Amino acid sequence: MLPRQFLAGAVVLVLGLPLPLSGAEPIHAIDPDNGVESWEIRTQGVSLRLAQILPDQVRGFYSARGFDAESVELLATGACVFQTIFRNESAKRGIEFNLADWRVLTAKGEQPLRLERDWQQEWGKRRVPAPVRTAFRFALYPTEHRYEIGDWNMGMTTYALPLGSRFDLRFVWRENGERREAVLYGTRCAKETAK
Amino acid sequence: MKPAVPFVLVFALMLLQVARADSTPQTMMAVPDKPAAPDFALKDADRKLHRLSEQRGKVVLVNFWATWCPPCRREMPSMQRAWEKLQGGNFEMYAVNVGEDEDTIFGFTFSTGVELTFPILLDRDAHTIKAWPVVALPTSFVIDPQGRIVYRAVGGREWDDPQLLRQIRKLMDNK
Repeated sequence: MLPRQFLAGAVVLVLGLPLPLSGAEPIHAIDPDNGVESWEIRTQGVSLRLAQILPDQVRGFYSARGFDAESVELLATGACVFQTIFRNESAKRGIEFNLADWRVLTAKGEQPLRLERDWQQEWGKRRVPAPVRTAFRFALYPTEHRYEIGDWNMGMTTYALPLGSRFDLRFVWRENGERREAVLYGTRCAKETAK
Repeated sequence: MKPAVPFVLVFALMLLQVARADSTPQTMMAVPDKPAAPDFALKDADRKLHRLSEQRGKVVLVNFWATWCPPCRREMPSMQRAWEKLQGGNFEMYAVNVGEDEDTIFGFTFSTGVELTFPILLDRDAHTIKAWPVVALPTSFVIDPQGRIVYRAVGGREWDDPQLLRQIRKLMDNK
């Protein structure tokens, strides 16, 4: 008799569909079309989903936003990039978060995410035009926000890790001023090509 | 005969998927103190000027979006359905595109397969959005007939959801 989670995971792998989640069990899925992996966890009234963005997808997206080739390459290979969805699904109150509180956990220790302000400093040095920087600001996941029930966003989070790196992500939020946290285990940065 | 088992599993999975989509709360939260909505005057793709303050007496849904933002794209057809249900009364809807040009927007609206008939306004230099409390796209606001921000929704919504329509209609009735 196969365990329930194994069966569910197998279906996800085959169909590439996200499953409804319960408790704090992360669900790992692989898109059968392009090999892109995603991880999703639902816990304490919030959900977090990270999906790999392939370097070529990063190149295409930021080239279309007006970035020069060198800056595009810095984004595509100088960091790993995930499409990120964080939701207040059913927390009892509004929640607040600051990505500066989130931590990447690896065998070498923990480190912060690479935040929008870090990138904007880089774009300032490179004299990236203001409209391009504005597009960048809204493409990245907001650094700080308050979500009432039902609020959510989709945006990119970036991590100062080599392509292909494995890490766990400790994500943190506050509900009524009280700190809450959970860990999304086993996340892996995209490689140059997924398949 | 074993094939029925995987089929049942797949069917159950599909139902769970639908159940999950349905269970996503479609809500707008009240904005404390109802601040005055920052005025703007923006042109649509036909270069017609729209000024928010000229809509006093109407309920206005102001939605900030971009074509490259997946949840923004996904909610557009539901905005059209809501528009079709609410227009004609004291209701206006503005979809304010941030930072893109007419050709890009036209390419997107054509690709939706849905004719979007509400005004799509161009904030090419992202000047207007800076005056609004927008941290991420999409973010939408409902403005009451007195020109105050009364509701905010962060992230995409199904705008023709009965609960959301009820909240808007109640404001329209309290003109």
